[in-house]
Amino acid sequence: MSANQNSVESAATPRLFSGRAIGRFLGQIARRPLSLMGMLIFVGFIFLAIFGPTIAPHQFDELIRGAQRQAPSAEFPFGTDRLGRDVFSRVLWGAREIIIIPGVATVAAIILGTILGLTLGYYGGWLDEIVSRALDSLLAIPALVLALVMLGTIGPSNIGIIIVIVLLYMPIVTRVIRSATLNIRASGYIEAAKLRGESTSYILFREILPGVLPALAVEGALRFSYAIFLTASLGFLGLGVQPPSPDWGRMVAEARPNFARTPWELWFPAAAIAVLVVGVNLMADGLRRIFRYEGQI
Amino acid sequence: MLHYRKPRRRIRHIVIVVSMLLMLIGAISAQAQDGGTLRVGMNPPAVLDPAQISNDPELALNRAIYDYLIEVNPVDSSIVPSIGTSWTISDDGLTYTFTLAEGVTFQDGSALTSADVAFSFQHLKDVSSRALSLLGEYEVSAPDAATVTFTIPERNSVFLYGLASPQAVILKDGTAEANVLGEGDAALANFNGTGPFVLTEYTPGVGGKAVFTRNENYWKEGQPKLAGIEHIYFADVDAQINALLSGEVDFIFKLPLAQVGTLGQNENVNVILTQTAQHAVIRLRTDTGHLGENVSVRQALKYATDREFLNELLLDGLGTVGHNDPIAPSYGIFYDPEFEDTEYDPDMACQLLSEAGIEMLEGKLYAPIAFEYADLAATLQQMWGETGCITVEIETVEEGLYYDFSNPNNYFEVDLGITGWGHRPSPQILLRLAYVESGIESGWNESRYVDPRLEELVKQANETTDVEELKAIYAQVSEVFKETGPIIIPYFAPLVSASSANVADLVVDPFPGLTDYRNVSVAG
Repeated sequence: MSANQNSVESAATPRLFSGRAIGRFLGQIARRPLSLMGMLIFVGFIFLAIFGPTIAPHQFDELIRGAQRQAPSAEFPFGTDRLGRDVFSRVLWGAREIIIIPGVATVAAIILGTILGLTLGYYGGWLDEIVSRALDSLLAIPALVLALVMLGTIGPSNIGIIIVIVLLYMPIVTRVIRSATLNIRASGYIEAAKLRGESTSYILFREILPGVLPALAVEGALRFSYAIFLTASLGFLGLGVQPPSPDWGRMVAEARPNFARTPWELWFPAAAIAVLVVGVNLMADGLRRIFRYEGQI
Repeated sequence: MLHYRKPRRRIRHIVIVVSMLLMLIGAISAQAQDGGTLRVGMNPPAVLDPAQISNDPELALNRAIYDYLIEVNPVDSSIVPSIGTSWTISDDGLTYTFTLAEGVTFQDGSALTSADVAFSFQHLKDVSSRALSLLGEYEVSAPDAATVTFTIPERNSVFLYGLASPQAVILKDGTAEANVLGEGDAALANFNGTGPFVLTEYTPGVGGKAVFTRNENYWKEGQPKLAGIEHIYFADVDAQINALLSGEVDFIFKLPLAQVGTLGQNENVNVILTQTAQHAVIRLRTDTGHLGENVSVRQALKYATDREFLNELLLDGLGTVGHNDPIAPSYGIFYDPEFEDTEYDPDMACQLLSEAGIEMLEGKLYAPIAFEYADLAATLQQMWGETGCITVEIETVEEGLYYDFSNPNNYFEVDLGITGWGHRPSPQILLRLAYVESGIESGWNESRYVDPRLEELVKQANETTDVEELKAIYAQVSEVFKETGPIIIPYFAPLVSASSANVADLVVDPFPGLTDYRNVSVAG
């Protein structure tokens, strides 16, 4: 009986984290140059987020007296801004913020959305109907408008942005996981687990969750890229973090009126946002293809 | 073939020469025409009723058509005559008597009398014009055709500035609908002033324009020099700059500071800087339980602030560093350049704090997102941080929200904040609004600053119109602010305007809409 049980499990549930699976995954990634590039960009920015502040030659808020508005040079690779701050250092410091805030928010949205999605998809019924429709109505409001209203009410802060992103993306994750769960719910191995008398949480997290992991990975990467963009947008609109923070969106907003005199002040943070978002999107696209995930993006 | 071509070429040459001659004649005749036409680019006005105007395009439209009783000199903010050629103030300071200019006629042909002036000022009261904020209470009468008398219940040193308010244009007696567009041939009949220009065409809104021609019967000899003015309405300042560069307009105002460098490189453009009293004030609340209750804290922040550096960094050195008080250099005689200010001395700042038992002064600096104020906040944070004894956090707030009383952290409530103050023609206006006890209730005294000496000085200044006396009083005001003032004024901002190089004798007013075009000319 026990041998039989094992064979059913291993045949039906993909094991994402076994050594062989990871090797195969990396092999697949390497065969897709664009996906590989996206992955490398993402890893590169993670590296910057961790070590950027150590590499940065200056503090992000240090006003270097007599050095304002300098064009890129050997001393200041990205030039200095209108107040004499080193743009290179600010971009490096900013990497941490732009990765951590959307990162934390995305992880929270994924966890909450997964729990909710699994539960709704597994149980169905009237609870599913009510909660799903409520989440749909939340999704009907344009993301940025909702973000502006919420941040306008609770005041701009890092925690505020994280809450806003979680509230915005949790329903989307819930919907994706719920539909994936609905597909899996009818599978034979779930029936088998039920017949074995496994607890509901065991079924949800040990039987169904591994099945929705590919969808989750793709969804996570996508949400992360959107969250980066949203964070940058909020920073641009002045509703993000406060000055002198090196938030890239905020840097772009502040550089805009000075574009004629110090264009580099705008180029580098804008390019950093673009590269990161494109990178994460390429990575998400690669994941989708590798996992043959057909869900909507 | 050649035989046929030659005459054609000759004809072409003749055509070219003749047309060049015609152009030359045209150019000469345009030059001979008196003063030329000045085309001014601006946003469209919204309100035309002179009693209610506030923004520059509205001021400019009325300034062209109407005259004022008296005016404020744009250079030193002193009062100069206009329709009121001379005036006397009674010894008790409660009666102002004006003698009017002779030979002044309205554009409809009727002569100006004192009844028109009296009507105009009565009208301001009837419609509760914003001009009343400086005028206060008054009665106006016309004892004879060339004399107008104002009586006020108590002394008011800014009463003359009130009479020169942008809204206080001289209307014709009985005018019911000043500047209301009529119909058909009489469309512009309600635009009837005694001013230097006559409105001949008006299309409202972006893309529209107001066309004025010289008032041939203008009462001032030899004025205006221009044959006409056109106000051309644009949606924004970028469109105005492009119009100036393409030669579509001759004069634009209220430009971003960065344009000084950019437009300055163009040899066909004159960049004009006007010193104003517009300023940002970094202010501390001084009431019980707030950061600035302790005078040492106020002084320490002053010592920790390098205002020259702020002016260099944030305004490219184009602002004017005055004192840490509202007596701006643009107030001419009232500003004492010899006055010794609090020097930048970070060690002194820390010493003062240390003596007051504060090892590390901590606070939150609020700033509205407007002008360069967010950058100012970021720079102050660094500058104060460098002392080693002051740390502040920054919170920038969307401008509308910052000045909105429903926001608990509005400009009036916060402990430490940056507030923008627009230009005022007299320091007295600022002093009696923002730095006296009565200003706390009226919502202007944001620092809750009350110093008995200042109360007395402001009261004295309110009761005199003697310039020398006022100068002496304001010198003492500066002294009080130096000792206990809870404000830092990093600099007074300049107004940036630009004109084509062929515009002559243009002096831009600190309120650019009030700029006087009567002596201006445009070369052909």
